[in-house]
Amino acid sequence: MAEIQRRLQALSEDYTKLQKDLQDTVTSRQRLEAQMQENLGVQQEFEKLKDGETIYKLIGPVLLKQDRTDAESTVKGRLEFIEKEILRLEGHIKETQVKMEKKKTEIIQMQSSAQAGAGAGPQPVKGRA
Amino acid sequence: MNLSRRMLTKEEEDAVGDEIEVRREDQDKINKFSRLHSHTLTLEDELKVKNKEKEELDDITTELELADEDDLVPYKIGDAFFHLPLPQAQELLGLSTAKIEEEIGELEDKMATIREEMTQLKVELYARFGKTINLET
Repeated sequence: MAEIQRRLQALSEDYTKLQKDLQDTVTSRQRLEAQMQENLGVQQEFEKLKDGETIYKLIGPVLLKQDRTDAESTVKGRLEFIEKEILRLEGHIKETQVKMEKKKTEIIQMQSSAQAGAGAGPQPVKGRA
Repeated sequence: MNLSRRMLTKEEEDAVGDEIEVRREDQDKINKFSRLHSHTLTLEDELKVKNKEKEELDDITTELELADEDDLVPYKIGDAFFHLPLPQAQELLGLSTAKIEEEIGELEDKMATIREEMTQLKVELYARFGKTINLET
């Protein structure tokens, strides 16, 4: 009986850990979404630029002139990376959700076997004679 | 996760014997430990922000070393940009960098002091309560 309690405790902790993992991943995914929007906005601004217009980048307190081709390819590279990361995280989210479902089932099974054990009356005592 | 400091099992709890009384001073120490710990978390966040700022300042300082002497540098002061001659911009950058380094130093000193205090409290509380208290952060 104590054994089942201990195992239930362990399973419950596992579930909590999975929940936290899920939450962290979701938060990261949201942050990436925001970054993607920001970079898409920048890309749109670039497309509106006429020849001869300059691009600046704010580094600390200084506006540093940027080469147009460099800036455009940097933004493009960032967007590609963000898209890949988002896909990866979404995969991880689905995996974690599956794991959580499985863990929930394990916990319910263990709880019902604990109740069955308690309700069955006097237990055969396994001991040394 | 430090597994050696988990909650006690029933057996371990029984083995401890009589509970040690939590006196007023013990509770005060526990509360203080908690407060100090919160403080370190805040300081850590501040340090992260300042270190990132310093990194940016270092980057731009390096970039400006490669810049043309005759270029004017758009320098942000408040919400406005001023076109400054290169040497002046570099001077202002130098001042900002020195200021941030000082602020980082102060934060790190504060952290060290707090950590010392926490270690001392740990010693005292573990001495009194042993396994029945968990002070691992």
